Amino acid sequence: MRNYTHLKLNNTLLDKINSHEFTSWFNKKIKGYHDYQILAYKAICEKKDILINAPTGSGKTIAAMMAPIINFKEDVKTGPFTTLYISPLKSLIYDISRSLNECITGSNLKIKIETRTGDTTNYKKQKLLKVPPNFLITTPESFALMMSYKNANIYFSNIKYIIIDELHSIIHTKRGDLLTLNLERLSSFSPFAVKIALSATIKDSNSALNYFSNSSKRECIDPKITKKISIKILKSNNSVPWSGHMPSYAIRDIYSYIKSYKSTIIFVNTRAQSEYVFQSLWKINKDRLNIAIHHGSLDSKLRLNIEKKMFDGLLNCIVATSSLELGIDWANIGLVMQIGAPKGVSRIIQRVGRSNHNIDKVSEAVLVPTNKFEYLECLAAKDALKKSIFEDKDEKNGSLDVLAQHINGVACSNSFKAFELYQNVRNAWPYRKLTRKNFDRVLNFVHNGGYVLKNYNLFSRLNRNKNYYSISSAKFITKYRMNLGTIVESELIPVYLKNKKLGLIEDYFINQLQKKDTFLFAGQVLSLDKFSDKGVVVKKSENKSPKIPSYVGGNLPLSTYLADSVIELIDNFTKYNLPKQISDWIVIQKKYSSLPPKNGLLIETFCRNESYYIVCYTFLGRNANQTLGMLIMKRLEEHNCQPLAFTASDYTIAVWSLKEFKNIEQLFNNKLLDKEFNAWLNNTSIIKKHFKKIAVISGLIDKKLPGKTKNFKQTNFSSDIIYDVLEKYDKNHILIEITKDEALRELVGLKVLKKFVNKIKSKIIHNKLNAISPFAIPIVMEFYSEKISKEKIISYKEADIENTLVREAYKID
Amino acid sequence: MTKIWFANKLFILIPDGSIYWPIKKTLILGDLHLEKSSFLAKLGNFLPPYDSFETLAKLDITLNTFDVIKIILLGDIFHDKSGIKRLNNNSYNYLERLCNKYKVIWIVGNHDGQLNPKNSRLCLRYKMDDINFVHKSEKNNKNELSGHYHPKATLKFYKKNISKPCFLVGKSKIILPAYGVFSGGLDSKDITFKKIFDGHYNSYLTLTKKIIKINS
Repeated sequence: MRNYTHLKLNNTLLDKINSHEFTSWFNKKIKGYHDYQILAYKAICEKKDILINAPTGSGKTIAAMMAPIINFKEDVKTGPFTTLYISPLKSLIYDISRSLNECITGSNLKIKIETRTGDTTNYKKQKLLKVPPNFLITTPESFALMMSYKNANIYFSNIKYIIIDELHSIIHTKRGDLLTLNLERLSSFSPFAVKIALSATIKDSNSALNYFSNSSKRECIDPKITKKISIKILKSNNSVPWSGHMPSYAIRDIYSYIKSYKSTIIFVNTRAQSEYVFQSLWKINKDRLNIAIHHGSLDSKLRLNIEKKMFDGLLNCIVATSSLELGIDWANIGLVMQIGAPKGVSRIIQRVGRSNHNIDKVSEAVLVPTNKFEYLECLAAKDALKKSIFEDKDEKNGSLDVLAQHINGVACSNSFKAFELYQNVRNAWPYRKLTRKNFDRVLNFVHNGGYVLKNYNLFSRLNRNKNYYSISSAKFITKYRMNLGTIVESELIPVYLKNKKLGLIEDYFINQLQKKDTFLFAGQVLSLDKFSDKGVVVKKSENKSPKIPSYVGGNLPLSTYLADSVIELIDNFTKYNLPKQISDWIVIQKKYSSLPPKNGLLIETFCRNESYYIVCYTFLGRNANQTLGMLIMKRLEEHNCQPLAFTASDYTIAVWSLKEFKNIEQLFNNKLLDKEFNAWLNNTSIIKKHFKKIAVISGLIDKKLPGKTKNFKQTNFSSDIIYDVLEKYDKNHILIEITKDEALRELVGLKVLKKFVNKIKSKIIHNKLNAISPFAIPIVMEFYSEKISKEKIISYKEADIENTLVREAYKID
Repeated sequence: MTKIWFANKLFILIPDGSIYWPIKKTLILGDLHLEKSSFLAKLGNFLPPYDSFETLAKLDITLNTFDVIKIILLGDIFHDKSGIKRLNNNSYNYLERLCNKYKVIWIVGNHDGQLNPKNSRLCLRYKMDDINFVHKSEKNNKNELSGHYHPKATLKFYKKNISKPCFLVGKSKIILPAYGVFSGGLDSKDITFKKIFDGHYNSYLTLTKKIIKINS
């Protein structure tokens, strides 16, 4: 048993810990508590809100749960329901409940632990309401839903501990907004609850504390534990491709890694990659290894089944998207592989943390770049991991669409006074700057639409009685519950094989298919059979080259830190032990053009096949580059250069036109951002895309529930039209304002662009080349692969294009 | 605008979703679904209450562009039975003026319910020369113009899909897109249309200012 005398705790506290059944059981299992776990327990007993900032696998869950378990006998005297555990991921919830139940049964305690997620059966949901458990583990969304029940204030009144797990994954997001609003409301009916947030990889722990707590008694517990990580970049005899996002060149190497470890998780960035990798591995799976696939759109039963198999050690390998990312205690995982660039350091830390989850063991990881720039990005991430560099998310103000949803939820639960609710909302950190005026605008929107034209007074969602608001009809309660949540995905359609539901697939993908077309889904090649009322019906296909869902990489923007590191790395490339193909690539780039400068911008121009190319190496991330690409197109149009198209990656923008644009130095100036940007923004589809999400979250239109619509092919009218009409007749409506604000901040990266334009002002290197440069090959190829149909390019064109481009760039003739 | 020959007559497809029959100075349109927004508001979705405005404003522009004597409305003028009661005064007066100024043939659709517009002719079917006008296409009906289905077509443009209301034109039938701004649609390739047309038909996609023919 460990000795804790150096912590100088008072004896009553220590005796309480040491005499508890849980401690005896825990001591038998593991040597004893970590010091920080004891300190966390002490702080919680002193009624402090705490943040525990430690890497995965260091025992944070125990640190948080010691108090609820050890103090249970006293806590339960005032009511059965003492502890609320909120975790952002469903798969994590089952895992926590498993390991907590092990603790409880192991120590012979009588504590009832239950879980509640969107997958929970209605019967169980009702039962949970009638007979509350002692500990409840749930998601932020399920929590919000329970808060909308009529007697939520009684139901939650005895809560002593609220644990917020994986805080780093929801801080400064809309999910976080919703959670902080509900936590603040909960504080108003259970003011003595202690909040305990668990987080990994957060740099600024003070602002993280602020985020969920405004108590005067609080503490950050930082055990200063670092996890040992061994990270490699895959070595293959085949060369890393020029462009694209599929690891075809390395499948055999990946396979041999899987063979040499007991169990492996392969993380991918998109579902398309997961299907592709899974399929390719099975094609060469001569040893009949157990390889499974896991992504968010698989049916929940299949998903749970896979998670259980993995837990029981029955699988050699699982190919997974971020649906499997967080905090699962799978101590048996020997190796983590990451396909494609990690895009951010914190992200890769989360993913690597999976292997040998136990803090004392080394985590092993292999990064598999899928193109040449990604190789550099992987190398930069590897360096950052060595230096333990963390990146925090940018702070954001609470979103008003989420507030609309919250007000609706509050109204479902009880009647409220506008002023009191406003005060309560302002206590939530993201909404601390909310003005009364904006609160009222949102309230009016929830009330009856908030339009200038008062057409809807008869249909108000809220009743107003003097100063009190309440929901006007039970049907609005049902509607609220069906639409709750802040994650708006593209419309999903159920896929059936015979009568078995395989999962859900995005409608944009299904809509481009015709009967007998083949595609990869749930790890099988399927062919489209027919559309029915319940969804799409598919058959198994013998076809081996299916149409693959197209790559959607845009939603994982490259982090600034990694982008800067890649430039730094190119600058110092001789100091790294790079494979020959990569160093050759950089050397030849340096010889025929230049390397992208650290605080400036490299622009290359050249003429190919009668088109004039402008290639800018901005390293701004895909979103900002996309915007910049549009702006450059506009500018070329103004100068009558007849621009044809552009392509943007995380690193580069390439634009081509029929006529040459001569004033390259004038391409980037402030005018580009002010005049042209505003003109462009008002006329863009990006803003409308954003409007759709806001319309759903705020409750203007309904979330599409799979299987709900009678005939899903009869599409609803598009939210674009709603936006147009609203803009035309009611320009100052709150939803228009929210949309424009958010589009500016999130999608377009205006701040990033402005900073960038200032930074590079006088440091533009313009190289006029006779032919394409090595660094331009990836982006130009990307364009070809988008233009030409995927099948053709796979069969013959790709090799042709690649050869021609490489010959040109490397001056081979 | 696109000229087409149908039943040996010249018709003009207008990008706003209506058809002009020049020789008869007749404008044909259907599925206005007026007051759909207030219908949905009853269900708790407070869509901008400006759809009837917008739809009638669109019609007004077209009526001022062409020389029109007669208007044939192919049904579903209102989104629901009580829609007309919810229409605000300006829009209601506009509709009344329309019925005074033009000869309006008002075909009743499945959404309309009981209506009694002044100065206009209410009917289930209408025939002019050898052209049949109905709300919903009928089997064995030749030279027929109808609405009801709200056909929509999708065009691939660069990497984007553009999905807009469209006209479907077959040998003996035309289906018009929905004229109302807030109306959903059924994909032009849907099996329903294959059954109705019993053979070949073309889609004419309506963009803001022009019409694009999509060969199928």
